[in-house]
Amino acid sequence: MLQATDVSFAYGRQPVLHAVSFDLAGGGVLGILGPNGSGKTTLLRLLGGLLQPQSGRIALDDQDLREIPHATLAQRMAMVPQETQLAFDYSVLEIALMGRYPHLRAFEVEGPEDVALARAALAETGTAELEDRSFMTLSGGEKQRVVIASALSQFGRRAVDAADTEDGPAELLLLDEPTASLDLGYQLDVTATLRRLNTERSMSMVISTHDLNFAAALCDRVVLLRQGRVLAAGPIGEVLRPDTVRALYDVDAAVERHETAGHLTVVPLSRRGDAAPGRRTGQ
Amino acid sequence: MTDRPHAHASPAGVPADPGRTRIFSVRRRLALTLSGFGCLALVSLVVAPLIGPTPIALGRVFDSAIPFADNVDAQIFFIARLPRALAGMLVGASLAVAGVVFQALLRNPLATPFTLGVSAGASLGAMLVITFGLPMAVAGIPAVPVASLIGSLAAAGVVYAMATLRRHGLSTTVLLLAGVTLNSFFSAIIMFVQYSADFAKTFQTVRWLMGNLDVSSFQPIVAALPLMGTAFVMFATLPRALNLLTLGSDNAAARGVDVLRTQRVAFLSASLATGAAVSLSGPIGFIGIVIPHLVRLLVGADHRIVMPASACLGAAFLVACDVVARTAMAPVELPVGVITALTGGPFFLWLLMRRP
Amino acid sequence: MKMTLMITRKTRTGTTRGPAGRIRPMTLAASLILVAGLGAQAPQRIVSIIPAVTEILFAIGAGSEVVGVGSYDQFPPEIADLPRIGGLIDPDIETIIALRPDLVVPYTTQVDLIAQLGRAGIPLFHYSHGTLPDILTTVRQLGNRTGRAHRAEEVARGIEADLAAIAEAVSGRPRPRTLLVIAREPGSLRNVFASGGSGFQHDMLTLAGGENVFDGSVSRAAQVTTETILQAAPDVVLEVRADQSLSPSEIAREVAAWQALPSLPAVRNSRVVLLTGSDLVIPGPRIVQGAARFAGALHPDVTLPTR
Repeated sequence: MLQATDVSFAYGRQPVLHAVSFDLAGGGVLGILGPNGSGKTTLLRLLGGLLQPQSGRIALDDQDLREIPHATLAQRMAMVPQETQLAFDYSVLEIALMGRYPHLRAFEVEGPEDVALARAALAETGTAELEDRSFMTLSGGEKQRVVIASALSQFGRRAVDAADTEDGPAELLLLDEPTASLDLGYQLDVTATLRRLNTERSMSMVISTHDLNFAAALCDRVVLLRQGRVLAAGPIGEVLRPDTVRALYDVDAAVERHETAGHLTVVPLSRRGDAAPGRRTGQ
Repeated sequence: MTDRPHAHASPAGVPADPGRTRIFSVRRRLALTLSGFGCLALVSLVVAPLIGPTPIALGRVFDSAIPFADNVDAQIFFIARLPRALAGMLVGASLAVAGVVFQALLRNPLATPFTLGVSAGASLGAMLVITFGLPMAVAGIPAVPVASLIGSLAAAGVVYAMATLRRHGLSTTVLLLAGVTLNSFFSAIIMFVQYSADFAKTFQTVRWLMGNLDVSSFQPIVAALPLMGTAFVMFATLPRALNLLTLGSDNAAARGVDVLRTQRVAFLSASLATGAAVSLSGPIGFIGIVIPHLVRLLVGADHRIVMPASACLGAAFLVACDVVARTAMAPVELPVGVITALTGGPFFLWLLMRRP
Repeated sequence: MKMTLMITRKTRTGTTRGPAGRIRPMTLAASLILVAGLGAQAPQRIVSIIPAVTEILFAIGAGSEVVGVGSYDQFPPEIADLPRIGGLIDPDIETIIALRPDLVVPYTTQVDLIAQLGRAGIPLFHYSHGTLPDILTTVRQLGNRTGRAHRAEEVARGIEADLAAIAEAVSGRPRPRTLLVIAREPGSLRNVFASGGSGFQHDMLTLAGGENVFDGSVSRAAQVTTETILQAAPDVVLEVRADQSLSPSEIAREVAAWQALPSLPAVRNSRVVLLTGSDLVIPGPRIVQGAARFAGALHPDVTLPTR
């Protein structure tokens, strides 16, 4: 459903991405992995239509992004950036309601259906009881889940809008480093939420992250990005190997399937070429 | 906010949700808040012309038997006080909403309508005319307001050009830095002009800078109305987009907002409103920062409510301050900017401190 | 330095202090004797920052001793080539000291300048600006200070006589209630400054046969509002401006600004007058001309005595 073909981008004279290509089938979860500065966030912003590629093409359901009007795009694709800093304080429900913007006409005010859809989105991420709380007073994990809920409420369709089409376009969620600043517990919460959205709603996702284990827990396909170029792309089981990890991070790592967790894990051992630091005795 | 007012009525047709006993209705909150603040503004417009240092009899004011030329009470009411109250409403509303919009645009609660140099440009324009007597009167509008408006728009233009120079899009950081720099630059020029002018002219410019609502006729108001009207029409298109802009431009764009267009309209409308207000009355400070915050403390941050409420409260506040300025030490009149600062400041501090 | 001191002793003028400001015991003693024995020493190098004082100095014949004048001085024509030393806000202390004055006349509000001149040991004349009688007092005091007491007395008496003649010419006539406007924003009636019940311009108005609408107030000038003007309902509006460069059409335009208040008696009866010229605002010898012009504006049909 999402296809990037030979996408190149530069900020002014600073080239960031070069000939990046990959595709994502409906219902799949794609991880974009790479070190800092590899262009992950830029790629995600290109996929979200916030930036225009200098060359190449990004297509959603075979339609070039540039040809889709902003509001329509926002009804099919939502983005959760790495950090959300509010200039002013809103309540959690108000933030969830902001996702309804692409569905409202010029001076239309949110109606009871929009409120219901926003509340449903909050329920999806387990934040329904925070509805009246002020956003700034939430913990990191709660904030992240509220922002995800706000993105989800972009997808809900009102009765009046759903009348004309049968099933609704497929939903695509883009997430930029969703677990970067979260504790382990919150990481598990967010992972579980996203997995549930993927299985229950067939929501497609593109997740950019440098946390290989998180990617392994969630993604079925990955794109390895190094200095703006695709190092490797494909199903995670094939692509995530010690040699690709070494090429990506200059780190020797053990890549093994963890039986209890049910997915691959990556354990970094040493910088490339150095001897392993050795086991710690005692503790 | 944990303690904002909630709507209590249930709009027709909403199925009862057993888990929720409260209905959240934006429409109802909008209606309630606007009627409340609107009444406040209307009351101040009606009451202000009745108060002043000269005692007048309402009976005489509206007595059509007395020829206007001999009816001093009516003259005072209709020529001195009523235009003054109207000017206060327009300036107060313009500066308050411009403050809200600049704060949203710059994503900074400390922004004021004067942050980006618009007021400094207006002051410089007025200063140059007062000091050098440039013949800039246009279509019956005296030179000082004309030059003041041109100065404000020139300043806005320079700041905007700098912020859109480097790459596609508008950098709010550059906007802020350019505005602050321009402020300092213009202030330096203003100081230089004052220093080198003769004392009488310098004194006049200093008085202009203190702000003055004594318009003495409807003409300056009529001249400012098209500009303020245009600005307010543009304001009307902004509230929802500004709400989303609070989340950051990426979040806003991802939800379908045309961020660049919103920023342009916000900057232009707020600069126009500020320029027109300062040309009408000189720079009156404090309204553009106190009123938006006060309103947000009372009704939350939804710009659809904050913007109209700020317009009404700003209007009422300035008119009230002007009444105090006129009567506190009658017959001497205090500069209205002094009253806005003395009242607004401590009240705002108190409000902040009692917040849970 | 020694040369100067010797000259000082010989010619009986000048200061008792050397340029460095230290008192030389011998010079001090000698000068004190001279002061005691010969009366006041007339200064030879006078710097005047104040336009009125400059004009008075020239009028009493002390013009040859004036070596520096303020930036805003325009009269008399003889000062055209004299060095300028700044004004109220920006006095140039270096230029003043470089002129080696033995008398400087600053504004009383120029406290920094006065302190610096004091440290440099330069004598000052303390000028106070106030009513019409104060002008005459200043003329006489400057006369005493510059050794021109006799001439100053003549000048003062001349001014008094001329003013009295104007008062005589308008005596017995009804005195119109007048708003005397000293300053306002160009082109509109914003920030109007009017003469209060005191000051030399108020005195000129009274002498010229007018009654200040704000008589009874003790301020020299006050900002007045539209409301105050409407309540005062003046019969005549008299505006004074120092700037003489206004063309007749510009003057007419400024007068037309008063159409914003068509209900004022002065506007209804077309009795709004704008006078320009420095003789209206400088409390010096030419104040007589200023007063005569006031009288002409208030009583257009009166025949004024020619000088």
